[in-house]
Amino acid sequence: MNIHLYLHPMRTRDANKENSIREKAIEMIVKEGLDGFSMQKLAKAAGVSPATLYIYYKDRDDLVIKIATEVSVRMMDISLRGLHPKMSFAEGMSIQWKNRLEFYISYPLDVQFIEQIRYTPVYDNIKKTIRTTFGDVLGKFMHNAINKGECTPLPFEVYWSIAFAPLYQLMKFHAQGETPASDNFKITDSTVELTLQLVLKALKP
Amino acid sequence: MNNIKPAMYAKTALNVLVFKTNLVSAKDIHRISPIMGDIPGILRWNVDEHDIDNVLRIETSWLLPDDIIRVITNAGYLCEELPD
Repeated sequence: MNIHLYLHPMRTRDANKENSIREKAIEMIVKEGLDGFSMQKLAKAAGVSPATLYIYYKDRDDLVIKIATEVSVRMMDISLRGLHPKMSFAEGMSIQWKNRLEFYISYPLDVQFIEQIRYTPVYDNIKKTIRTTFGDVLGKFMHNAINKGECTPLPFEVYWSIAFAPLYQLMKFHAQGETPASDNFKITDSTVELTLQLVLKALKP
Repeated sequence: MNNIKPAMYAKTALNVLVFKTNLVSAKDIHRISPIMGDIPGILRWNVDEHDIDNVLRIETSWLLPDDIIRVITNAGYLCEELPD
């Protein structure tokens, strides 16, 4: 996977070029989806030759997987910042909600990008990396919360749908700007806090 | 103590050569597989099956683009180097 590390200096890696490739790829996949995405279009948008893309990446799938892994790892890293396994469940959840919201506000395109690929085969590769990199902290936190009787033991899907999906729905409303009840919806601390309190109530044994 | 050092493979210069081809299907790729395997000097090769240019990518330390073009063309496929 890291073949480029051994590349001859004749074709050097250029961090600016790499950043531009990454940015454009994310932008294009968010706008046009994974199906319409091609190396040639990306090369044109990023101002590099298609040959250059293949120096950095083995093929199109490799490019998508590498970029998505990077974004996911950064997202999880920020989401779990400040979380300790021994924290109370309520405090740990509040920190994760704050972190996730912060990531969303700072990198909206990255969030949309991950949402785009979350339900494609590409994401299977990423899940493994995430699990090995972050599984420990989150796993211990959940284990403690359940043992201390602060959170109901649930199948993962049920847990996630209650614990985080409400936050993502609020973010979605925020991104759309309009909801069935309002033409100008903006996410606020009090909206988030109100929702979080209901989520905690729902997860309490 | 064995002081014999292994050859410094890691320090060998490695080049990536990329070609636009008409290796469209898995069948085409299957067909060139034995040929590619027989060429000394190819460290790794792959065809980007999910992109429109059907790019053939080769990692080699000493082969030249023309070496690859000759072999692929002889096998009956189009093959042209993608410019840098």
